[in-house]
Amino acid sequence: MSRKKIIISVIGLIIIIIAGYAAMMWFSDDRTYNRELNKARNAVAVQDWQTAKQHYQASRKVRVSIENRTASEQLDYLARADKAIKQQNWESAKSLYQRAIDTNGGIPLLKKAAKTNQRIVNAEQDSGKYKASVSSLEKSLDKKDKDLNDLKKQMSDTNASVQAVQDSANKAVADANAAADKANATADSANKQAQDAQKNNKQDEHKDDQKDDNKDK
Amino acid sequence: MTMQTAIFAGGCFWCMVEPFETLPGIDKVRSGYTGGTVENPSYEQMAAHITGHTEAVKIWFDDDIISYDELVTLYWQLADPTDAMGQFADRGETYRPVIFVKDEAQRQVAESSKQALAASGRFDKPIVTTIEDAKPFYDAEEEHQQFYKKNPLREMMMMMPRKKYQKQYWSDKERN
Repeated sequence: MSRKKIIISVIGLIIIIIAGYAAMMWFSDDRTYNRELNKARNAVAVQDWQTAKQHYQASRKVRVSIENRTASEQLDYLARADKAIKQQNWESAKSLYQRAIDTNGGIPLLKKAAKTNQRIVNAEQDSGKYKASVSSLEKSLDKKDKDLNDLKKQMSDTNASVQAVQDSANKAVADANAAADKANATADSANKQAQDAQKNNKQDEHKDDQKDDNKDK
Repeated sequence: MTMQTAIFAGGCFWCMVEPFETLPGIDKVRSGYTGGTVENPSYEQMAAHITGHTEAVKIWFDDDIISYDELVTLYWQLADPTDAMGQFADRGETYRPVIFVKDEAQRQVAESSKQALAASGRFDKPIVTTIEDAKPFYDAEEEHQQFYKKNPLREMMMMMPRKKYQKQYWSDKERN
C-alpha cells in the first residue's frame, strides 16, 4: 500500500469518526430535547407550572424552539397569576391569565388552563362583589338605624329642654303674679292709709269748724 | 362482597375522585376518558376536543357496603345536572355530565334517580344529564390519577365553583 493511500485512509477514518460522533451527539441531544419537552408537557397537563418551566428551560438549552420559548413566557404569566390569586388580587390574576391567552404562538394546553382559571377567578370576583354589596347594604342599614336612634334621642333631649324652658317660664310668670299681688296689696294698703288719713283730716276740719262756730256763738 | 363498577362524567376529573374515594365501600377510583371514537386518547387530544371523549371517573365499589343508588345520589351533588355544555369553569363536550350505565339495572336506578331529582323542585331548570351505555374507559395518564393528593392547591382552586354549587343547591346535605 502506497503512502498516499494510507494517508487518505486515515483522513477518511477520521472523517467517519467525527461524523459518527456528531451524529451520536445530535441523536443524544434530540432525545434529551424530546424527553424534556414531554416532561414539560406532562407538567403543563396537570398545571404544575414550576416543573413545566424547569423542563422547558432544560429543552431550551439543547434547542430553542417556538414551543419552549412561548411556553416559558406563558408559564411566567400563569405562575404570577397564581401568586395574585393567593393574595386575592383578582384583577391582576385576570389580566395575567389574559396575557397567557394572548401570547403569540402560545401552547394550546396553557391557553386552555388560563381560560379555565380565568373563569374561576371571574366567578370568585362576582361572588366577592355580591358579598361586598350585601355587606355594604347591611352597613348602610346599620348606619340608618343608628342615625334614627340618634335623632330620637335628640328629639327626646329637645322635648326635655322645651319642658324645662316652659317650667322656668311658668315659674317666672307665677313669681311675677305673686309680686304683682304683693304690689297690689301694698298699693291697697297705701290707699287705705291715704283714705284713712283723708278721713281723719276731714274729721279734724269738721271738729275745727264746730269749735269756730262755738266760739262765734 | 360483590365488586361492581360505575362510571360518571361530571366535568374535570380531578375534582371527581376524592368525594367518591373517601367513602366506605369504595375500592378505587380512576380518572380517564370515555365515550369517544379514538382508542387510548391522550390528555392533549382530549383538551383539543377532537376525540369525542369526556373526562370521567370509574369507581370500583362493594355493593354490600355502598349501593349504586347512593353513588348516583352523591353524583348529583358533585356535577351540575342543568348544564349540558360543560361543568363550571370547564366548557365544551369534554366536560358534559353523563352517567354511563353498564347494564339495565344501573340504567333503571339512574333513570328513577334522575326523575326523582327533577320532581324534587331543587332546580329551576331542566335536568339535562344524559344516561348512556358505558363505552370503553381509558385510564388517564398517571399524573392525573389521585390529583387531589398530588396537587391539593390546584384541586382546591378547581373545586371552588363546585363548592358554590353545593352550597347553593345542596346546603341541606352535609357534604363539604
